[in-house]
Amino acid sequence: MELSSRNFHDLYKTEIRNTQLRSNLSKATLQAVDKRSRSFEEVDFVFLRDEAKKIKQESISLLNDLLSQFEDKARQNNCTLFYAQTPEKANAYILDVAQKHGVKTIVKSKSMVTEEIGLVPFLTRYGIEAVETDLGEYIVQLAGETPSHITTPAIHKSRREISELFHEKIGTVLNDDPSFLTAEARRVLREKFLSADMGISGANFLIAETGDVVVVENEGNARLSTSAVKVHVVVTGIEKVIPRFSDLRIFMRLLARSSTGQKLTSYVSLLRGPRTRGEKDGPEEVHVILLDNGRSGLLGTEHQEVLHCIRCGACLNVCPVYRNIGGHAYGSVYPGPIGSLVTPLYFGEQNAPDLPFASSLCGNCTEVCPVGIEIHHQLLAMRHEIKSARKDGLEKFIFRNYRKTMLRPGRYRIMGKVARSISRTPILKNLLKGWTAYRELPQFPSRSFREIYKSGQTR
Amino acid sequence: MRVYLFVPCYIDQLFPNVAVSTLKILEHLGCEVIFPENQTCCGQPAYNTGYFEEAKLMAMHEVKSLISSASDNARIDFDFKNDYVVGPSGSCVAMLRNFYPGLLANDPMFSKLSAEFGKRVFEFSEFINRIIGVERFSGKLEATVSFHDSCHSLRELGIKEGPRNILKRIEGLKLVELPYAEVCCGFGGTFSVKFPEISASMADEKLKNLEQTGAEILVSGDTSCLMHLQGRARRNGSPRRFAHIAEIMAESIIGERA
Repeated sequence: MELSSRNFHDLYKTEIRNTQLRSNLSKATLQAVDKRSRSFEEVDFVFLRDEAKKIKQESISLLNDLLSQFEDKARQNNCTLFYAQTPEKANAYILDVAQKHGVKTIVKSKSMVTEEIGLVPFLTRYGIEAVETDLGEYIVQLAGETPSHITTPAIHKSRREISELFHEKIGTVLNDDPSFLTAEARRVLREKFLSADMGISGANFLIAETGDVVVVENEGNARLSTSAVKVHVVVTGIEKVIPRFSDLRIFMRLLARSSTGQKLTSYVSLLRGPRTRGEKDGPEEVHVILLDNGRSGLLGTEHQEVLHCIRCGACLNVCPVYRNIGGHAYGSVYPGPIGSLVTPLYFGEQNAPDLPFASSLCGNCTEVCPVGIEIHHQLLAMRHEIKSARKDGLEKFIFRNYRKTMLRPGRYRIMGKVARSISRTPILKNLLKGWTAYRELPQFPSRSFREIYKSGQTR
Repeated sequence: MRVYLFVPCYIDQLFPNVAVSTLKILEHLGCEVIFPENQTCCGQPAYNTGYFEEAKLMAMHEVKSLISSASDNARIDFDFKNDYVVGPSGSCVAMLRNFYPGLLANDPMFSKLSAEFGKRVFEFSEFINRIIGVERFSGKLEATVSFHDSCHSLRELGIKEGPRNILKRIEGLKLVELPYAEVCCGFGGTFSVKFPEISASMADEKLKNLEQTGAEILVSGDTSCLMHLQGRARRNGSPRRFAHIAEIMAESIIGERA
């Protein structure tokens, strides 16, 4: 997907005016937050989170070793592995596989990494149809849009909007009953599953010990697109590898609860390579593509923990900024608090300079993160990096002078007095436009606390 | 008990009554209160905007100033075993207690000092609950109020029940819980002027939830959130009152006397 995070200011200003969007988001995210909290009542969130964090710290600090271990195991399981440094290389490899098999139609299950590399539009240019089979992704694809959320891609749409979309694109009658709409999508998608020659999926976890690719989902579409096809291509990031099979017991308790408030998703697929002799089903070929695209550059930096993310979407649901502007405003496939870290880190700070600032630093994201990423403190550290790299400008000048004032109590007293004395003049109102465009200024008192204190009139 | 009063700059300049009320209550509860005159700003606006170097210098100044009652900082008379620093702002207290040690970690003189200092710093309602004892306070005030949890108080300092327990000590006061109390109000320091549309929209959500409570006053331990919410409410034409918990407490002890 093309990155448009540089236009964040324009994008969010348009989105925030869309009252329908805000109402859809508010309803859906608050419901998700509520379901999440209830689902954690019966397990010890803090214990599980700390365990998951430990496993992820181990995974990322031993990343190279674990990847070689996974590679050996996956090869033993007859998978073909490909490390892609860049999106271009990943896309080219997938196209090559598809062309070798004369593939016309691909069924695709959800994968954020395929969004990151812009796989579907790329394949389309070469005359290959890649159909999204996850309901949310299917809706977004029909609408010609991109996902606005990591786990619920069509969260920005209401039932009514989806019903109208289906009516227009696939000719269903207008009916906004979710089970009707799901059945209609399934009818169309079944045909695609039957005619597809290749399946593409992402991966939630890669297990170094066994070479398993773990895919977690609710609709069964991922299972179909990974097992009812001749060729299965897994596209995922290098950071998804974990050491042991037994580690899954921690992540399985956390992931579904964090993302949808379920105890467990309806399907958990453990994929261990193509069909072996005697097996009646499963793909004949399995390719695993491991994308780097900026990830290994984070190793050893203070942002390394961003690689711990398991893409549950909990930080998006609790984020009041996300709730007000929606995922598209971020101009990146990765929106919300975690997206405001991932986007500048993967695609370059200069391409998303405003995102780390688009947070009130309320910390709700950090509070719900199932792998304990200090998201809001990470945002703060990125702000520091961005400001340090920037040349002198008006803002730097203001902060330097503000510091100079604060280091001299006498000067602070005088500046305070001056500011309060011009408070009713248009000068100050103009200076504080960012504030006064949307809010009234408080009544400025004639005396500061320290003046009152000095005069002995505090009693 | 000796308390060095920490008055954040915006409270000093814009909301002196919050500081006056804090001082009154602390004295009312038997504390000896000192106002260190050289304190200015904790540096949080610079810190949260990414200007760590500017914030660091302000942090050093603030630590030095808050542990000295002398007007020229010439003498450090703060007793690290027995004295306290107390401020009526969860946000600025979080800066002093949680963020100074990290910010000053590489400074030979301040790294240890800021950690020791942090242990003696308390937010106003927290100080009453944890050090003085909430049962020592009582008041009387007829009012229906809701309490606003600021994100820094809630998530950085872990303050949730304390201020509510104080409000429950006021006879005649009815406390109605705010729906979605733990959702940010949208102030966020420089966030409020960098992204004013988002910030105002978040305030509108908070104000809409406040409507449902029927509260006449929104009370909080953080005047910065209140300044933002009140500013937005006034712009929307709402006359509702927004008050710091120290102000409500100060009013309630007058009520009790009468």
